[in-house]
Amino acid sequence: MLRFAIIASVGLVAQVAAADPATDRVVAAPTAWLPTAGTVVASVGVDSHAKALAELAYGLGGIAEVEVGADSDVRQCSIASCSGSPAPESYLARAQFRVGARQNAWFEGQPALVLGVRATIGSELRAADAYVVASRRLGPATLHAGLGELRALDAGIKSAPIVRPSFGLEIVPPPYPKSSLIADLAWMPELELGKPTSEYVFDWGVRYQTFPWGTVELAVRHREAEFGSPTVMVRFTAVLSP
Amino acid sequence: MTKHEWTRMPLTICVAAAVANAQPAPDPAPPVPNDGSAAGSGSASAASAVDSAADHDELVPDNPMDEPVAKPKPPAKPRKPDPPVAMPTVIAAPTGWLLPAGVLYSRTGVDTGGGFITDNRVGLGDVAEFGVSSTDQIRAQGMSTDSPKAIQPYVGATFRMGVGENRLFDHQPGLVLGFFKSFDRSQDDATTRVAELTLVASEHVGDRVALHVGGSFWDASLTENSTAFSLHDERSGIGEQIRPFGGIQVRPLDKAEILVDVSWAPQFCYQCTNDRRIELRPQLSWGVRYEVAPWMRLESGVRVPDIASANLLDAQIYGQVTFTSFVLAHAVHGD
Repeated sequence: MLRFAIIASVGLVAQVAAADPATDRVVAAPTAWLPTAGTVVASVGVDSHAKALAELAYGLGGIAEVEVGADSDVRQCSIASCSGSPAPESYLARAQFRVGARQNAWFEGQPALVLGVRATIGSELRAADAYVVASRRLGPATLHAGLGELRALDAGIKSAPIVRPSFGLEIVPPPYPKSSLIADLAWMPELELGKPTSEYVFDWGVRYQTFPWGTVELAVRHREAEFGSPTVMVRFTAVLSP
Repeated sequence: MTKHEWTRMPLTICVAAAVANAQPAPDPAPPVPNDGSAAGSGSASAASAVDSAADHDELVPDNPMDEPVAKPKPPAKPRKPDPPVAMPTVIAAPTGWLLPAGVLYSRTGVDTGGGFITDNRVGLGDVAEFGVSSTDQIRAQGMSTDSPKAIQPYVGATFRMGVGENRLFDHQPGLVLGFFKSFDRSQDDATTRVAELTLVASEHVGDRVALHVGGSFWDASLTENSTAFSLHDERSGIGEQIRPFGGIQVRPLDKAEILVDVSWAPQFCYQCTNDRRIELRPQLSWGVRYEVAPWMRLESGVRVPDIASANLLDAQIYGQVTFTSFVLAHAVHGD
């Protein structure tokens, strides 16, 4: 018991002393972590539907981040391609800008806070979201909670503004400081039959710090429309500080 | 010859050679005076060589036979560090700050709407600046229900003149009167052009905050099928052409600034009723400027081209890089 308490205490101190991580998402839910000035964060991944993702982010002055990339988080189909089954994932090139404050920047105990906007790049199919998210480390756990507005445009039809929360949880088991158990709940635009709407996604998995500068994630994604047939994804993230 | 004499001879030769070697070599061509004062000419010529070398900024070598080497020039006076350059724009709104004399400024950016901007200026004598730019803020739509799209490139020239902050008295804001005039731009069988006159005041509040407040007087014209419409004709009263704008800069970290501004831009509608063909639309922008080096800044943020419509789908993420250079200023001032 004493041994566990010591390990837990060391883990807690190490977590608090370490700088904020640079990853801006748990899996789908946004975090309030910002990369330090000049840091480049690169992510590549693939899922069991053979859909790939690639993202590149840059820490702007230590108070903001700009990111560009392509992912298949949003699903879309037309009347012709939808046949009763859930819509397939669709690639979107997107850019994101986030600005905020780090943990304890304004006062002791303040969570990290970020205002983010994400928009599609030059596409007739458009999806945008704006959100506010707070992140805080509490011992071996890290909590993320946010509130965002989603909008989508498909075939000239705009969705009504959809306001949804997002939640994320990361736990670092004290005996395994390089591993994190991760889970999140977030909402994403769904563009089916020209009716932009939203669906929730629930992700859970493990993140392992394979290198001092890189992590590997293995996650399982359950979408609202097909909760029982999840998608498995793997993602590698490299954080390159100047 | 005795044994001692045999052993002494090489030693004597060595000593004689060493002494001969240690003597200064004769002057190559010593001037021989006719009055017979050639005695001691070796030292005299050496002294004259020293004087001559001193006269010509040359170092006197230890060995007078060596060529004199040039004396290293005294180190150049250290150049004063270049002053920080106050940016002439917040994000889209102009500031009341001018570029220093001779400073070159170049800003280039892209956004997620496919927009491309470039803005190139030069500071004129600390009281004015001139620039040529291409903007993506002028938008057009076919009908009022269509999504407006940027007309680009939209090229124009800018001239601004004014008074720097605290130049006339303490706490005097920077004041700048600016004029932007576009070239004619033809697209979709219509020709458009815009002009904007601005007056803006900028003031630092403490070390880390700056405020910008100004007003703009707009005019624009749209020529379609030989019929011309202009903002000043279609609008009742000059008040329809005047709009306020402003911005704020906050510097939470030494090299990073948070920027927010509100500005206006004309929007053309080709098939709307006459009084709706040209409208001024408010634009909200926010972002961060990161000073990577004194001569380079990276900027990114969000622009909402028409905040009146409150449509998140119109939001654009932009990225820009700005370079400033004192090369011309140093060349002109010779420092």
